[in-house]
Amino acid sequence: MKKKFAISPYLFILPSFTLIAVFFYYPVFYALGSSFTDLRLGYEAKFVGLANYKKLLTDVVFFKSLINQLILTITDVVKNLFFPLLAAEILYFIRNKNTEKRMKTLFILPMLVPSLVIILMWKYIYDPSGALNSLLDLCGLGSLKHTWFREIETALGAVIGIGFPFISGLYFLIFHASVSAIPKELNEAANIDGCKSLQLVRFVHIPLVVPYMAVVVILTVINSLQNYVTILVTTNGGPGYATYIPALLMFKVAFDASDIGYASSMGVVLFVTIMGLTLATMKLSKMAKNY
Amino acid sequence: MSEFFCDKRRITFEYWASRGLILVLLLITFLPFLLMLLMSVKESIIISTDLWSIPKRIVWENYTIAFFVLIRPICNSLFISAVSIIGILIFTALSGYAFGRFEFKGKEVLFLMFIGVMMVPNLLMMVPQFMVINKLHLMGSYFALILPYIAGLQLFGVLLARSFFSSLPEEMFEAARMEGAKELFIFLRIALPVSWPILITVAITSLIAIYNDYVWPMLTLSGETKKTFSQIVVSLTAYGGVDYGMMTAGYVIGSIPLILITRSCLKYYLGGLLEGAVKG
Repeated sequence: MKKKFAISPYLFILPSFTLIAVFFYYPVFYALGSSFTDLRLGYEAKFVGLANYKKLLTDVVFFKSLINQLILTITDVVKNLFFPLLAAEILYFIRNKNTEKRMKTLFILPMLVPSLVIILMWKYIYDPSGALNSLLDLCGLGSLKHTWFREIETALGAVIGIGFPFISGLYFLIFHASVSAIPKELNEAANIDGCKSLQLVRFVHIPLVVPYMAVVVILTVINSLQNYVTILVTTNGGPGYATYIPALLMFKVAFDASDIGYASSMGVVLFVTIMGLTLATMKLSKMAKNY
Repeated sequence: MSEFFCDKRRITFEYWASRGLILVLLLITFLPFLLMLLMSVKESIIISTDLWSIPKRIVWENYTIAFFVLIRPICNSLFISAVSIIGILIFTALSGYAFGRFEFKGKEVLFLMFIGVMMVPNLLMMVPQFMVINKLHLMGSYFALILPYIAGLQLFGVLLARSFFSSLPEEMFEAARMEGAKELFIFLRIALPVSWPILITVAITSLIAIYNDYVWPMLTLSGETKKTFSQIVVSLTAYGGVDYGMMTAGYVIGSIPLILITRSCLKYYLGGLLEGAVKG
């Protein structure tokens, strides 16, 4: 029996596609196109070829933001790999199953609070009159006090520290699930060979968890490159340009300076970078898996 | 699990050390939240002078003031979320079902077009999207938010929904197909009811994203009464000088809707998330 051409699948996806076409594909091409012009809000656009991209190469602020981004992304990856895995592993070794369950729930709880509130709370913690300085005073370490977000040396570090100890959330869940999924036989086998918990972790758990680490790294990198809200809300890029990241710079150029052409070119570069890094990370994780 | 602790003496040290460590980590994790609660019932002056003290008097006024400041924005946010989520779920279910169960020409390409969008940084498209909203004369209204939210958040949903729908056994649909039921009917009566766990995951993920979204409302909404929770909460410190008590009370109040809703669906939300992360 010949297969009839069915129109229903296409009808099913039509609504989604319409929205995507209007709100994503049209804007993408618009942005791509405008990156080759000197479009400013309210003015006529003039084609300028690669001028914006050339400008990018000589933009000091842009390079500073790239360096900041590198630091932030690397620290983000470390933060999301190390701490959640540490917590998941310790939880794994707890004898009392009920305690373990309760602790897991406790670690998950902060996920329920709106992220914006958490960021704002950390903004307060770093405030000169806020919790961190007050804690330092209490411990007699008053000399270590700083105006964290306002000093060039400490601003970026403070941003990195937001969310300490970096456990709650999706990544903890991923690692907890992956560690729990390790078959018991493996543990018992290692046990018979003369275990020590640390060795167990190093030689049995970690190799098995590597695929999940890859997922965590990819998600972290993608997120890290695009998230500018945290910095916008806490330091707004300051002091000076100390905490600028490319995404934030792009936002400011587009909406404060209304230089849409230039902002678009940054966006294109950002996009290519994200794609590149994602592909690179995926290749690396494939290699790691085989190892 | 107690088989791991072979050497009795090492057990004790490792065991207690790791137990201690995890407790410390747990405490530090909760510290900001406990602090937030503590501050919300203290007077601003006491907060400035003695941050860590237990208040002698519980200052509920912080909550009443914060409540009146926040009630309208929170309702705005919830309204926008509700409308958006309905749209998202409809679109997600339709497209996810189509990609998961139908075979049609260009299916792979079309699906890649969906996923491809997710790779493009949102920021790149923000200005053009802004212009689209302008052209459609939606600037300043809630639809300036709702439509882009649906457009964007359906993507993740379609990803999850496709996996889910394709994993359904064909037998479910055979009976109806043989009786010549229309596709839409099959979708509505058979596929959809079964898929609500996945839909809940998508709904909660969307709710969290929309509720927390700060930049887009800032760019497109106008008018004090229309402001969302995210906009107002950021400016809480500006209301009548810095009243940290009222500010933190506001944070607590603002968290409540999200906590209540997420908590009631936690199982499904987490399950769906993990599946998505692992498959992706």
